[in-house]
Amino acid sequence: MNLPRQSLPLAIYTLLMAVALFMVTQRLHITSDMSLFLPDGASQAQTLLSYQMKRGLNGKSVLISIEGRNEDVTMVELVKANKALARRLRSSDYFVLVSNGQARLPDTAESLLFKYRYVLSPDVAHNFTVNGLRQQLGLRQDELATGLTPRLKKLLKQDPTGELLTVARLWQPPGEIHKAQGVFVSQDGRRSLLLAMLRGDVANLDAQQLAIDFISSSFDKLAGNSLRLRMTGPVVIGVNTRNAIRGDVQVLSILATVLVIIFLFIAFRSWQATLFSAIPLLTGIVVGIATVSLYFGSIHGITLAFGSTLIGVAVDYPMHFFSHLVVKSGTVQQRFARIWPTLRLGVLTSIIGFSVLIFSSYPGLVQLGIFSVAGLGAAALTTRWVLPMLMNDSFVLPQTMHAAQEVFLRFASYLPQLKKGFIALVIVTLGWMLYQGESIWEDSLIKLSPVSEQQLQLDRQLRQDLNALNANHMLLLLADSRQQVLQRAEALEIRLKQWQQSGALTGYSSIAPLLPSRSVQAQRLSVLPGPAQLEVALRQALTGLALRPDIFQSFLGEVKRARKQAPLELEDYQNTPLNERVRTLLFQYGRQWVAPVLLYGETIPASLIDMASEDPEMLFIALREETTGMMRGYRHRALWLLSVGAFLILVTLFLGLRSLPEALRVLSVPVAVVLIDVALIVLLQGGLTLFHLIALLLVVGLGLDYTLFFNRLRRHEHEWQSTFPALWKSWLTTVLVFGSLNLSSAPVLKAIGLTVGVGVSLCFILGLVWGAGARPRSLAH
Amino acid sequence: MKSFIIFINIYVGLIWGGGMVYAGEMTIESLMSALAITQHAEQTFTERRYSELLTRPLVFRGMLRYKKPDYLEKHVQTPRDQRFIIKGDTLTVERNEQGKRVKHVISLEGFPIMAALTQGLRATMAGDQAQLEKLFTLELSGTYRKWHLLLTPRPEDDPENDETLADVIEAMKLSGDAQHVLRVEIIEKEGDRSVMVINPRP
Repeated sequence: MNLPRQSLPLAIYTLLMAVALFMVTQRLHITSDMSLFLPDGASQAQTLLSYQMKRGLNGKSVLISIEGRNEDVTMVELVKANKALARRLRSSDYFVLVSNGQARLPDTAESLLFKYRYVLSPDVAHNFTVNGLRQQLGLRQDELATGLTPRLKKLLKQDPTGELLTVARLWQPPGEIHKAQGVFVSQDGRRSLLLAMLRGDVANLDAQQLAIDFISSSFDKLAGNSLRLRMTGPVVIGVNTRNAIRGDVQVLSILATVLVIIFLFIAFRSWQATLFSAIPLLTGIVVGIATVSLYFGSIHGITLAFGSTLIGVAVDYPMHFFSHLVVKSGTVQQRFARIWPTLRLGVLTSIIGFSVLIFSSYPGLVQLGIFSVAGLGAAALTTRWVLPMLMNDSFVLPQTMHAAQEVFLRFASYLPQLKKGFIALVIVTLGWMLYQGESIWEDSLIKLSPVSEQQLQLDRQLRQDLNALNANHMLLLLADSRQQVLQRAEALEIRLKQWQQSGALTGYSSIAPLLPSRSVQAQRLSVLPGPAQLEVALRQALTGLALRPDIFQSFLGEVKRARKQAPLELEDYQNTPLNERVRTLLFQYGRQWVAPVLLYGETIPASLIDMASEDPEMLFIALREETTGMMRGYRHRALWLLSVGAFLILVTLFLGLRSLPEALRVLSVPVAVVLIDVALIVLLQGGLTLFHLIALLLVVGLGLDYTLFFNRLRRHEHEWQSTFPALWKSWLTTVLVFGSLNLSSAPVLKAIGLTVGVGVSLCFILGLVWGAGARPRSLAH
Repeated sequence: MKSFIIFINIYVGLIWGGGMVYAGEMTIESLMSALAITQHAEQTFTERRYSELLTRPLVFRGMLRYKKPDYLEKHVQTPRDQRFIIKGDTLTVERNEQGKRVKHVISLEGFPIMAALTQGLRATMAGDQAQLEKLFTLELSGTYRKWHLLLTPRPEDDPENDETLADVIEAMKLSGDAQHVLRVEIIEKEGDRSVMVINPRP
C-alpha cells in the first residue's frame, strides 16, 4: 500500500473543491433573465424581434384591478382606494408612469411637450393663418364660458392656439376608458383600475418582483378588508409562474431527498454508503456552478435547476460502485476497477449527449450544456478516484432486498420472451410519428411559460377594461440613419391614416407623431410668423371677440423663442415618463436604425403586406407566427445537433466496445425509448416543448448507462448478483425523484417528471429485453 | 255636499298648514324640503361671465333642464350652441367643432368650476342637503320669500390634484324664492365670476 499515491487524488479533490466552493459561496450570482432562453434568431426579422423581446416590448405594463370582496362595496370605496394606491405608487421609484385616469400628464412630460409644441403639433400650419387664429381664439372664448381654472387661464394666455392639448392627445392610448369620479373603472362598475409602467429591465424578474410586491404591500396598508387587489401583465405572470415553480421545487426536492435517503439506506444497510452516495452529485453541482460562473460571470436560476436535474445521472455512479462492494474478493479499488470501463463509457456517451446543448442557439441552453458536462465529468471522477479512497479496503456491504431481487430476476427472465412484441411496438410508434410529422411539436411560446387559465382570463378582462390593445402585427422600418428612418415613418403614417379611416386597420403606434424628422420640424417652424407679423394677425383675428388683446404678450414671446429653438431630439425625452415609449418605437440596432410600427386589430389590409414585401427595408411581422417560426428554426437545429450527437455516441461506443453490432444494439435502446416516450408525451401532453427535449437528453444519458451495464451482463453472468441490483436500484431511485415531480402543479415540472419517469422505466425494460439477452437458467432458482 | 265641504276644509287646511311651516323660522332643513318638491324643471337662463381676460362680459342664454334626482342640463343656445349634461358622475359636453357635432364624455374633475356649478346647483334643486354638505359649508340668510344660500367649498385632502373645488372656487351664492332657485353666482379665486339669472317660467 502506497499511502502518498492513494492520498494524492484526495488532496487534489480537496483543493479543487475548496476553490469551487469559495467561488460558489463568494461569487455566486444567480440571474433570472428569461430572454436567455429565447433563441438568437436566424433571419433579420427574428433577430430584431428577439432583440425587442429582450428589451421587453410592451411588457412593462402592470394592469391592476381593485374590487370588492362582496356585493355591497360601493363605488366610493373603490375610487378612494384607487386614488390612494395611485398616489403611493407614484411616490415610489419602481414605476415610470402610473395612470388611473386621474392626473394629467406628469409635469416633466408636460413641460417637454409644451416647450416643443410648435414642432410637434400637426395643426400649426392651419392655426397660424388669420382665419385659423380667429377660429382657435373663438374656441378659447367659448371655453372661458365654462369657467377656467387658474392653470387653464394661464395656458390660454401662453398657448391660445391650443397646441399643447393637440400634442398631448398624440400620447393618448387609442380608445376611451370608462371612468367614474375621475378614475378608470370597468364598464360594470365592479372594479376600479390602474395601469403602472415598470421602470428598468423587465427580464430581470428579481428586480421586478420587488415592484410587484410593493404594489401588494401598499394596497394592504391602504385598503380595508372589504377590498381585494388583482394584477396581471407579462411581468406579473412571469413572477407568479416562477414563484409557483420555485415553491414546488422546494417542497418536492425535500420530499424526493427524504425518499431517496430512506431507499438508499434500505438498499445498502449502511449509513456510510448512504451518505457517500451523495458526494458525486453534490460535487457535480458545485463544479457545474463554478464552471458556468467562471465562464459567464453568473448563472441563470433555470440553468441551476435543470442542470441539477440533468446531472441526476450521477446518482447512479455510486450506486454501481456500492453494489459491487457486496463481492468480497479484492480491495475496494480492485473491485470497483472491474466495472469502471463500462461506467466510463456510460459517462463519456452521456457527456457527448449533453454537450449538444453547448452548440444550441439559446444562451441559456449553452449554460445548461456547460453545467452538465462539467458537473457530470466531476461526478464521475469523484466516484472513481475519491469515493474508494474514503472507504476501508476491506469494506463489504451486505446483500440486501432479496425479495425484490427475486422479483426483478423473474421479471428479467420473462421480458426477453416479449422481444418481438416490443420490436413491433417500436415499429408502430415510428410509423405513427412519421404520420404525425410536424404536428408533434408544440411551438407556441405560451407553452414555455405556462400560465393558469384563471390568470389568462383576468388578463383578457383587464385588457378589455383598459382598452389595452394587443398588437398582433408589426412593421419594422430600417434605415442607416435616425433622420432617414423618421422620414420613412412619416411617409408610412400617411398610408396608415388612410387604412385607419377606411376601417381596414384598427389602429397603430408609430414614432412619427412623437418625434418628427428634422425636416418636418423645420417646415412647421417656417410657418410661424415673425413677431411683427404675428401681432398684426392676432389683432385682426381678435376683432369681434371679447378677449383682451394685451393678455397675449407671453404667447408672442413663446413663438419668437420657438422659432430659434434647436430641434427636438430623441435624447430630449430622457428623464421623462415618455422616454420608454419613444425608445420602444425607435432604437439603434448595430449600425441600423429601427422604427417598429405596431399594428392593432385582428386583420391587416393585404395592400399593407404587399407594400412591405416590395420594400427590402420594411419588414412585416406577424408576431404570433414569427415567435412560432423562431421555435421551429431552433428545433431544426436541435434535431441536426442531436443527429451529430448520436453519431459521435455511436463512434464512442464502437471504440469502447470494439464491436459495431454491439455498439448499434446498445444505442438502439435509448433511441427506441425516446421514440416511445415522445409518442406518449404527444398523446398525454399535447406536444413537445423545449423542456421535454431537455428531459429526453437525461433519458438518453440514463438509457446508455443502463444498456451498457445490461450489455455487460452478457459477458459477466455472475454479475446478476451485483450489477443487476445496481440497475434496478438506480431505476427505482430515479422513479422516486422524478415521480415526485408529477405531484407539482407547474406544467413544466410535470412535463419533466413524466418524460423522465416514463423514459427511465422504458430504458430499464428495453435494456433488459435486448440489452441483457437471455438470463442464464442457473440463476432462475 | 258634505264630503265636498270636508274636502275644501282639508285642502285649505293643508295650504294653511303648509304655509304655517314656511312662515315659521326658516332653516336649511325646511328650505331643502321645499326645494325637494320639484320633480323636474325646464327654465330659461341668462348668464354673464366677468373675467380679467375679457374686455366685456360674455353673455350666454339658454335652457336649464333638471330631472330629479341627478340629471342637470345646461343648454347654451346663444351665442353658440353648447350642451353640458351631468348625469351621475359624468359630464357630457356637446358642441360644434369644425362644423361637426362632437360629444365629449369627461370626468367632472377636469372642470372644477363647471363641477361646482352643476353639482351645487343640482344638489340644491334636489334639496339634497347631505350631498351639499359633503362639498360645501352652508350659510343661509334672508326670508323664505327671498332666501340666500352661501356655499363655500370644503377643502379636500388630495395632494395629487391642485385644482380641487376649494382651490379654484371662493364661493357660490344661490338666491331664490320659496322652492325656486333664481340666481346663481360663482366667485372664483382669482376674481373672475359668473352670474346666472334663471327665469322661473319656462
